Amino acid sequence: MGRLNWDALPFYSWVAFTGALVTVGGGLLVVALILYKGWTRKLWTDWLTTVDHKKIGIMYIVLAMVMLLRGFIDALMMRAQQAIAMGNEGYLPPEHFDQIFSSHGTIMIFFMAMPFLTGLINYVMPLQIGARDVAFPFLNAVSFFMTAAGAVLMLLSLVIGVFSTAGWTGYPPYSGAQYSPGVGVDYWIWSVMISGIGTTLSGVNFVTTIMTQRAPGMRLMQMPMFVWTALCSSILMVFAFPALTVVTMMLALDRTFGFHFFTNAAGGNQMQYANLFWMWGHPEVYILILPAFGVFSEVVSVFSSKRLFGYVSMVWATMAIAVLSFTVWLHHFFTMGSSANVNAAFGIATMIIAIPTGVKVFDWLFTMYRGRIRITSPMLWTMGFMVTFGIGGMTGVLLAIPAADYVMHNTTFLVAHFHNMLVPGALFGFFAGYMYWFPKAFGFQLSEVWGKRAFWFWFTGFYCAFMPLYALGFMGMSRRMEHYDVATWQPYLIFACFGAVLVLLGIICLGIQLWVSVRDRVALADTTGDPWDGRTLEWATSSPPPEYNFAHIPDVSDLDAFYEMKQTARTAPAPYEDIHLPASSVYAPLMGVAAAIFGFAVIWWIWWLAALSLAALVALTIARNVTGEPHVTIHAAEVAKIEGART
Amino acid sequence: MRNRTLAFAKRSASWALGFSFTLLSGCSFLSSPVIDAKGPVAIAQRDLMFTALGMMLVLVIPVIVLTIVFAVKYRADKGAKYTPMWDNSHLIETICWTVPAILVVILGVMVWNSTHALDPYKPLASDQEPLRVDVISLDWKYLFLYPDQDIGAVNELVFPVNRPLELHMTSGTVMTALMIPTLGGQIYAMGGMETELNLMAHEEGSFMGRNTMFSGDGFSAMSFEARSVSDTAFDAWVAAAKSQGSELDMARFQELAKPTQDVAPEVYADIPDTLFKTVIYNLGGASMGMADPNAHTNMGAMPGDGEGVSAQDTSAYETDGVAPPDAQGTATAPATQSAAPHSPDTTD
Ligand code: HEM
Ligand SMILES: [Cu+2]
Ligand SMILES: [Cu+2]
Repeated sequence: MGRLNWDALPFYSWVAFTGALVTVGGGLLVVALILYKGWTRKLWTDWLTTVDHKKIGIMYIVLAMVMLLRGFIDALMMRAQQAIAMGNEGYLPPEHFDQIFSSHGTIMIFFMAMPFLTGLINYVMPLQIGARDVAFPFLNAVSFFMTAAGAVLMLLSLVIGVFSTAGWTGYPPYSGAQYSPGVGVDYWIWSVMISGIGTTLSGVNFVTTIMTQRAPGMRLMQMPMFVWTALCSSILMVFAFPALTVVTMMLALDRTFGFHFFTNAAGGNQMQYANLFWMWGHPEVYILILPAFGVFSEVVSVFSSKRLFGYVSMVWATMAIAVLSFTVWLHHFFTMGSSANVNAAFGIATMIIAIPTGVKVFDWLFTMYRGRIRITSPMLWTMGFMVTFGIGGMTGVLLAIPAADYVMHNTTFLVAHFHNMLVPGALFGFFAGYMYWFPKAFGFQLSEVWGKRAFWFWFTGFYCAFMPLYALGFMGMSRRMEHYDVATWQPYLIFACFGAVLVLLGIICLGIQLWVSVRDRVALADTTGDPWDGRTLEWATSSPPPEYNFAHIPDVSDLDAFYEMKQTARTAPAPYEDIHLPASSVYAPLMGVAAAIFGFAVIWWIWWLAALSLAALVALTIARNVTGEPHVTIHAAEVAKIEGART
Repeated sequence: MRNRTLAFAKRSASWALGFSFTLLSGCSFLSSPVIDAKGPVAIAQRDLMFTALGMMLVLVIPVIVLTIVFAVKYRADKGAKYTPMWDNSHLIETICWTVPAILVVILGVMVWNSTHALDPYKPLASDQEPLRVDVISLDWKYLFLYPDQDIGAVNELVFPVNRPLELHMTSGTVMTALMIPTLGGQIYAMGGMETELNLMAHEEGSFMGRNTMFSGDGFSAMSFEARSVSDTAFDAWVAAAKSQGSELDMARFQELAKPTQDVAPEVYADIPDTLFKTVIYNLGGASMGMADPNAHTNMGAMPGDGEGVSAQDTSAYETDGVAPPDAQGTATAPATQSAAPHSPDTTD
């Protein structure tokens, strides 16, 4: 079958074998649990075939959490290797170490951060704008299963064959067929491309939803800040992701069919890859961070019990960041030999983004000013972000100075910088959102004690793990080093490994938090629907919200719509009406399966299977379109019953 | 009582100082290549960085301090002043936008000036003629060619102190990046292209140089020793290379180009005049027998593909003594970037 034979199974090294064992074992454990509990039917009808944005959002976040574990194990392995490998080979041979940094970066960006933020947007945004679902509920499910198909391919590379060693950026010519024969880079290409298509569709869906599904009365300038950041992030998805799809497709053509877009020989131009990749790549970092900014804005206002300071400024700042993010991609390769004029122009453009970003930080600060601050776990993540983000912003501006970048590029200083943005900037925001909206989604709160413990471990762990890397950058350590022979680096790397262990404790606390909260769910129950004294519409529904979100679509006249509702007397409810909702559909999961099989077949050159699965994908799309848009109706009497049950 | 407190304060201060000093000196951060720079380029880059850092700290430190102060002062149970509906202030907003903007304008001017002053392609000011070295990155070693001295060296870059070093770089393999942190910053080396980096050392010494761009299994150990020496020592080194080194002919080069790790430094007495240009013309790796045979079998030999054509071309240049096309002439060669990427019209 194509290139696939028994050698692809990981019996050639203990590292590969253990990885495969853990992956397969984990998968089997989950399947066993589902069978044992008899959840199969429920899983299929209630979850996998659903088109409800809330359930899809939850599935995204579950996917993100699982991939976070995998990505973090990778990180821990690298930290351990570098702590040991001074003057020796450590415990990981290069071919493993190189796969690990590649899979860590790929997983964290594409299969941890992206699903996490897409999940949060999915769950929260329609509730915040007073909508019953996203604009295209079925498409939403398709997006999710495309992302999941990519993640499955990613995990599969651990069991069958190998993963790429070309880093999360996959620069040719190294990633070309000549220097990276085999399936590794193909796994990277197809998992990224398939999930990227899902992301593009999500972007289209979210933009349409925000533009067309807002509750009556909600003007653009009355949308909650999280909706604004979701909108900007989605616009970036729509415009940036096609560049990634194209560039990975071109690389695939190079590798599989002997094209020469990026090869050393035959007229290929490797520099063009860098351009195309970062034309997506830079907007991508804002896709990741803007929704987190949105979460911080919500959290800081709610837990300061105060209106968000400088809302208009914030909106303009967010828009400015989104637009400017397309003008700076060259800062990722100042060292490629562009002229001073070009480098200087892109350096200055990059710094300009610091202005709106700085404005946002000041606005959060002044939201806290003269507030009544409740230090809850979401607020802790937010404040942890605020004190740490400045450091990352500063080192980012340093890297935007071309002449400084010449010495800092490709060193651990750069690694420290982008983790400084991605961990406190994006991930802390996602955790804040997770803890903030969890009671809404499940009807009970998460344990605050364990949430705070998780925060302190993550926070201190982050500093211990990444501050040494800034210093190591000055000391001349390159990124992606499997071993080294400079003795003075080692203490720093051991310290960084200690930091990663602290983060591990943070992750364990997150697990315990979930466990004890589920156990104590009755005591932690949220009966009001509004456990935090919220200000926006999602808190106006019950926790968890009914399938239809709102019995009456709310009328909005202020930014803090729900806060305003709480201040003014409620008018007597109008009589309930029948509510029509899109019916669940088997097509989306089937399309996901077909996409995963297609990816697998192309990676292994099993062309008949590729043709078959592609045909299935097309057939499913057509079949779905001819069956139309089936609906279910929830009758007024039933709505009245559900609403009546709310205390 | 007061004396006791003072003594304690003094003692703990000296402890803290001592501790941080041991930490810093023990871990030799201050003597790290970038801080303890030894050449005009690196010194300028370092100073630029710390100037910019200082300017940004003016903004970042208040943010950090204010976050903590506000969190403490306005905690719900403190009963501090509370203005739940206050959400706007033109004064504060104006400051929020203008202060970062002013900072960025100042930094922007710095960026413009420093980028031009420290352009890696710009010849360094000196009363001495620059020493030209052509660098070819291979898997996983560096080959340094001294065209004016007609010698070559592997994994060892020797040059006179206080004389500008003009590195012309290309790659015989994947994209790499050469950096000598003590002397200054890196530029990529790419197959089929020529890039340039100008550096200089103010002091004699031995510095670490390495490839910073991941390039495969042997990447971690792809480093070399950069030695700045006195003029006489440099002449002696050249003379020694001439008398003791072997000749680097095309066959040996092909051998050298094969992937190997931890290659010991070696010198060559004689190098082919055209080697550097030939490698650029032939787009590096493809011609050097490094291709995995499986990788191209599904396509067969393609016209213009390095594998099929360039090996012959190489020998043709060798035997016929025909110089490969120079930067202008390459326009006729289908497989070649016709100009160094530096020229704005090709890169950007
Ligand atoms: C919090 C715990 C984390 C730890 C300890 C960690 C550790 C590491 C390490 C050791 C590397 C390799 C550095 C090198 O090249 O020398 C790395 C690379 C990377 N990490 Fe993380 N990381 C963490 C979280 C994250 C997160 C949350 C993200 C993204 C959202 C992320 C994205 C990346 C990327 C993109 C790379 C570059 C991979 C490459 O070189 O191709 N990391 N990380
Ligand atoms: Cu960028
Ligand atoms: Cu180039």
